[in-house]
Amino acid sequence: MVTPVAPEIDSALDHPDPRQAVERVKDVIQRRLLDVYPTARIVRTDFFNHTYVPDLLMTWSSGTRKSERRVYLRASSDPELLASDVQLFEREQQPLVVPLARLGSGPARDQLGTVAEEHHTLVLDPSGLGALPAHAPTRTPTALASDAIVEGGRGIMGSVRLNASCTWSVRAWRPPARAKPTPLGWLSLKSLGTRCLTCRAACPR
Amino acid sequence: MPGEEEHVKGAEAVQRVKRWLEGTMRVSQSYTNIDGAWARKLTLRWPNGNEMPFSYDLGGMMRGGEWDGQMFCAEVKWRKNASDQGTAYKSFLAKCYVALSQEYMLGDHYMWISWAPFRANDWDLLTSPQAIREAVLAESLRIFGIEDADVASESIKDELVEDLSERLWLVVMSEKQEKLVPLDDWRGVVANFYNSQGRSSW
Repeated sequence: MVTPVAPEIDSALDHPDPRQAVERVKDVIQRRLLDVYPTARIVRTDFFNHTYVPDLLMTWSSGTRKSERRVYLRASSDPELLASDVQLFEREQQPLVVPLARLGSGPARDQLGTVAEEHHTLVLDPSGLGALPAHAPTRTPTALASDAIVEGGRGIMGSVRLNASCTWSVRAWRPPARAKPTPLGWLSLKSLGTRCLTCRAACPR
Repeated sequence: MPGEEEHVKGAEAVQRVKRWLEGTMRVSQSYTNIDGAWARKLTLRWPNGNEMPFSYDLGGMMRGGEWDGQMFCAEVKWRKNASDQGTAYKSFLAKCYVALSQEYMLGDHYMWISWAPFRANDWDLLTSPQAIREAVLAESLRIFGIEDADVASESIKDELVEDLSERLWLVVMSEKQEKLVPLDDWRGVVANFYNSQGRSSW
């Protein structure tokens, strides 16, 4: 099920006081990420749209392993500007970049996708954030895909719909401890073809 | 097209200023007037005349020290020399007077940021109450709806002029100065520190 996030973001940003707008939009993103990934802990910083410091810090445990993703909100949805920012990130941090408006299409977007993959960054625009299903008690393939995207995805997650008809190898979704960034899993989506969420290579199976 | 090229350079200049300010780690939040919803927050209107809008290029919040939590707005000029800055700066002062009179949310600090100085002979007077007064009078029709300078002069609020004089910044950038900021890995250390001090969690 797709939950629209864009109207919530727009409403938050509409507050005339910029300080309030920042707090409200962080509320929306924080809440949405926790809907998708309730076992995570999310810490907020005082920063917003900052080149070097994230807005949110998302941490979680997988067995004995602790992991984190730094979440950078972006006021601009210009793919060129976003690519320029992504190039400054360290791969080890697996940054999660959330532009607060929908990314446009075209060559600049494709270029952003390439840069994001190279820098182990996931770009999740409002439509992508809305497409991630909320956590459910039953671990459906869709929910597992959602976890994997948040935990280790890279590239651009746009308005692709995840649904139960997707086929994947569930066991491969999570990397073993200290794994190199090898394919985390395979996702069959009509709009994407069958591609690895991590390296975007075609599925060998 | 020259006009379009200037526009692109202007947008790039604003990004460079944003990154430089953030590089000092004394600015925690900033946004430009091409960033969707933020453009509205950076836009005001002249109170009289045709009530046309005007906007600042950049705004945000400062952190630490004496300016902690205070807001700023900035006009950014990509110029190699004085060029048209004398006239543009005068207009900027008048706009800042309007903004301050409207208790503009981002108006704790008003910054003029350029890559070249201008009016060097009276540089020390550019933020003076007298310079502001002259600028306001030059826009008296759009500020007060009054054309006559003598009459308009009586409408100028001295306390606002004095207050604005204290809030003005003149910053002249240079390409080397842009690089004279903490290195990426040093900033990383600071960023990690602030991450570890995150102020709230769910």
